[in-house]
Amino acid sequence: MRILKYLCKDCIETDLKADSKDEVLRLLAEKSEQVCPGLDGGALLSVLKEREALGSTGIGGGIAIPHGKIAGLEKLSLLLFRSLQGVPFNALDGKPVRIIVLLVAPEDAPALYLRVLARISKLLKETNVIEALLSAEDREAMRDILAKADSGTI
Amino acid sequence: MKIVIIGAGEVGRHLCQQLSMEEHDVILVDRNPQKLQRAEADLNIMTVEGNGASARILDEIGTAKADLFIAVTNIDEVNLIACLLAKEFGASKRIARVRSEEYITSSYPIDEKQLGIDLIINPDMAMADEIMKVSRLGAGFEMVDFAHGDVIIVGYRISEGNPLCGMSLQEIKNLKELYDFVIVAIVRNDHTIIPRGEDTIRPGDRAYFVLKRDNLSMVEELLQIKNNPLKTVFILGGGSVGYQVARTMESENIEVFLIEQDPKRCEDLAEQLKSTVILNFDGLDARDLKQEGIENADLFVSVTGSDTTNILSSLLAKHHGAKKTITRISRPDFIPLLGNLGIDVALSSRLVAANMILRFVRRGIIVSAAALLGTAAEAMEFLASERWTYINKQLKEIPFPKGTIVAAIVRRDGEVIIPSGDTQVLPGDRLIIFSKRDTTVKIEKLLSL
Repeated sequence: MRILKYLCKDCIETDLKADSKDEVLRLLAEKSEQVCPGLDGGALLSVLKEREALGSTGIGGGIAIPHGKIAGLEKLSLLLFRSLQGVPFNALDGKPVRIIVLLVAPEDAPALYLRVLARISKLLKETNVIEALLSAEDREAMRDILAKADSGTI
Repeated sequence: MKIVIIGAGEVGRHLCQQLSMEEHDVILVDRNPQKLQRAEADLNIMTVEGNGASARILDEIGTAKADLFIAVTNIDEVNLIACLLAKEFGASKRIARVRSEEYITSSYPIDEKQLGIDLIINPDMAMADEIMKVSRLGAGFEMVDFAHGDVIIVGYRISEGNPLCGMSLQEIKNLKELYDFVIVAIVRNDHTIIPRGEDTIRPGDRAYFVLKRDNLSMVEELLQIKNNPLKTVFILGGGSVGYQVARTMESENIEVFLIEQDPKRCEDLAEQLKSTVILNFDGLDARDLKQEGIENADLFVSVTGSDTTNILSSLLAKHHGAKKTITRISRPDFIPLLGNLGIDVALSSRLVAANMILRFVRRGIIVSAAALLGTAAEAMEFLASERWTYINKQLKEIPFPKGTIVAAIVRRDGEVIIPSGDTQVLPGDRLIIFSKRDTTVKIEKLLSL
């Protein structure tokens, strides 16, 4: 399973300006509406909030993987965000979140959705991947790091 | 343990098989020498021919020293008297099977305590309870509670469209921080697998999940397991089990259709039940079933006295659109075949009753245990005390036998952890442990160190 092809080129944010979890989710929804064809930002926001209410997607180590299925979306996409100062996110380890990967998927691809979710969770548990993402210069560098992690060459 | 079992019927034989495999000293008493011979054939037990309600026999076999006394003959009165005697002789714990509801209603002048019985098993009530439990499960076919219900084991049949198909356990484990569940056993082609990282989930598998109850709907959503609330249920067979299930369901405002062949029994049922619609026809008549709207049934339960009727009617109901079927089977040998035929849940009275007894037997260091129906796997809950040899050790340092999974740990403060090898076992932890039944003895030894 390789996930790089699902990473949305136009949506890598090197420094998301947000101070709270709610603000992060709102910005995520706005950005994805701009870049993902067929996606309704308002609908995504409520899906994400519902999921966070069941349990935070902040998996620890400064990582959050908010995710959801959205009717009308054309294709499964990953969006990559970084917050240099860190945002409180009720994460498992209580630490602020610095790397946020948003996974949005159409409703009719549950198997792919699950695989991509498992894969990205695995990659973002590697501390060297996290550190490299945090110190990357720009979008291209962030993308390259994810590409290397994906192909196992980091 | 020294265990006396009175009655070499289906339940008695099953208990002998299970308990002797676990290296207990089992003595089986029955009046019928043929039944004893059959039970004894490939088991390491002692058999005694005679009446289990006879003081002389009970004295001779050393009931005084029995840790557990189980009376499961077909005759209630024999079971009750045998237990009364066993109490007098000094057997530590006593279990009786009692079929007649009269003896166990609260209005009966003698209660369990006076009868000297620690656990009463009413097979029909146990079956009706199990059916209710399974019917509430929706897409699952089995659910067992642990740690006061905070942790559950749920069995699901993995359909072709389940997104887990083709994924390895290792891959699935990556989801742990987002979706906290673990797959602890898989039944495939009648074999029970305690899965490891490289094993993959395949369509047709029956997979057992351990998770926090609070996370159930979240995990079901992820796995596309749809649970429609029960609205309409058809029950075939108006015997004691069918009646009890209908009564419980109508009290939960479910629309119940109860089909019974005997017109006389139909009249009784109509009197005792409220909103349930009583139908008097043969459950194998497709036209009648269709006419009554079987295609709208969320669930079809077949509990007649005949296995053949139960199996065929379930297939018929399923064919005509019933969403799920629960089928009572008295010969558990059939159970493995039924999944392939399309029957969702098959329950054997014998296994359900024996399972209740086994759970009771395991209490002690092991808080509770459940043999998963129709599998070779067993789950147990163990309360770790300060005196346990391996207390404060990490799981990977504890020499559990191969094929054992510690699926969940419930901390003293109620926190539920799906553990990894590094997780430390603290005093007061409850461990939910899975294993194949043939390693149960080894695990019990380890836990008692």
